[in-house]
Amino acid sequence: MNKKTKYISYFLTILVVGFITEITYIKNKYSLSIDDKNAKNTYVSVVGLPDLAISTETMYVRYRSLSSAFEIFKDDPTIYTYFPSTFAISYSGTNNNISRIKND
Amino acid sequence: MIKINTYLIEFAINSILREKTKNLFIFIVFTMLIFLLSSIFLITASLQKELNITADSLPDIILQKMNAGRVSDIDINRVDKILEINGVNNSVSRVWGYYYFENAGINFSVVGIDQFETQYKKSLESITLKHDFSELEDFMVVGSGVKKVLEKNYYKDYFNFIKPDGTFKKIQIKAIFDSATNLESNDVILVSKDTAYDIFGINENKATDIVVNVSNKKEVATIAYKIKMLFPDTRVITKEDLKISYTNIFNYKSGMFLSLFIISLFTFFMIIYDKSSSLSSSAKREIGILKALGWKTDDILKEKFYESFLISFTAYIVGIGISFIYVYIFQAPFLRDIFMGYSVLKPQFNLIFAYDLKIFAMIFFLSIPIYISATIFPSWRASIVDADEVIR
Repeated sequence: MNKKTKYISYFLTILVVGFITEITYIKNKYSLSIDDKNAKNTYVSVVGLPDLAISTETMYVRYRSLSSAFEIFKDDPTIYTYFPSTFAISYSGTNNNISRIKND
Repeated sequence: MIKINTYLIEFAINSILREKTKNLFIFIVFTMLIFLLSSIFLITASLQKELNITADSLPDIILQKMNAGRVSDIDINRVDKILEINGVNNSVSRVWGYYYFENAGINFSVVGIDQFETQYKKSLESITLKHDFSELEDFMVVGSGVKKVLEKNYYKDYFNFIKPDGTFKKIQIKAIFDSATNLESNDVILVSKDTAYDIFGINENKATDIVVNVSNKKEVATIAYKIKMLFPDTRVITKEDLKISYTNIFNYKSGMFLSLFIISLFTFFMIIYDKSSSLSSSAKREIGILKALGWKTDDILKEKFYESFLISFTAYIVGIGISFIYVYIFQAPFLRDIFMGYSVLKPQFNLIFAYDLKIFAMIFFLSIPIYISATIFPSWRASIVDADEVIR
């Protein structure tokens, strides 16, 4: 085997080994601990409600599986906050941060 | 056994090094594309895992009354009729809903549970930061997001709920949910069932929904069907429905991103193909000289294969490697916002480790073979022409 091929094979081996080491480290460090898992399960069994609190601003999204299509209209008749299409878009703060009633 | 000509590999390495800038640029763009897509799928996998972990603790069946297409309160005497169905383990009516806090413009989820019975007390003690549940007076357990918002609005130890008739209901904050449950409990206020009835002004013969647990999990579908037949005006949601709903949410999000990615990936390949198909005169001359020196078309293609494989495979490994660091160590700044709402009540949480090998295989087969073919094909076209014609 010539010199450069040797180097490139070392390089690729180091790359793959480094990758596997990285994944193993992250897996060990960032996996959910048993205590946390139990805490989550206890919480859900007490409260009994599904879904994550990642979109608390809209009722039809917070417990999406337990909401009805009509709830969409409740917050805004234009449905421009409709869930799947608008999460990346920043929402107008007027509806959320300051009370609309007080503003009016 | 396949014999690898190491001289061809050496030639490929030299060829890469000869055009350092061009290849470095391709490597960076390729790595970025792989990194972006991989990061999105890792975030999706992590959130989905989070949901699936807790899905088994949910009730088997949830029953909602539908009236004119809307969810409305359900009679609690239906619980007894449901309990008469064979195979039903238990059935409980629940009171829960949203409370809009004007000052902050935030919805809280208020959940009522049965007067803090013994089993609840034990469970609560294990998931809250304060451990004193000896007094059974009006109190509430709040998520850390709720606590922060209330503190900002000068409610340190208690909160005044405004009831539908305009009067106040003062409730003491007894405990805060453990941070481990932040992702689930951030906006939740847990109160006794009586308090929940009071806050929402719901008639005591009614409930928000009814939950049913089934002894034999294989019978869930049958029992759900029987309930539907018994109460045709209800919507019956099984645990399986909820799991499917979760999958749909995240598949939609990552699917949208995947379609955008595919467009950008193919644009990238088109540029590569376009660049390579109008091979520069020096590259054509190189192929011509190689042919004149006795290289077969086969050898030229092999050399081009090694060249493109080295670039794309390295970019793939580096891209995926960086995405793991970005998502789990740095907790995916910016990209995780795609999956989050615009709410001011954002939970502090850590993405838990999760991955899907099928996804990485898909990214591999979507990117590397296409890149290799996009570079090999133009070289093949140049290499089948006579050497003297190519050089000329």
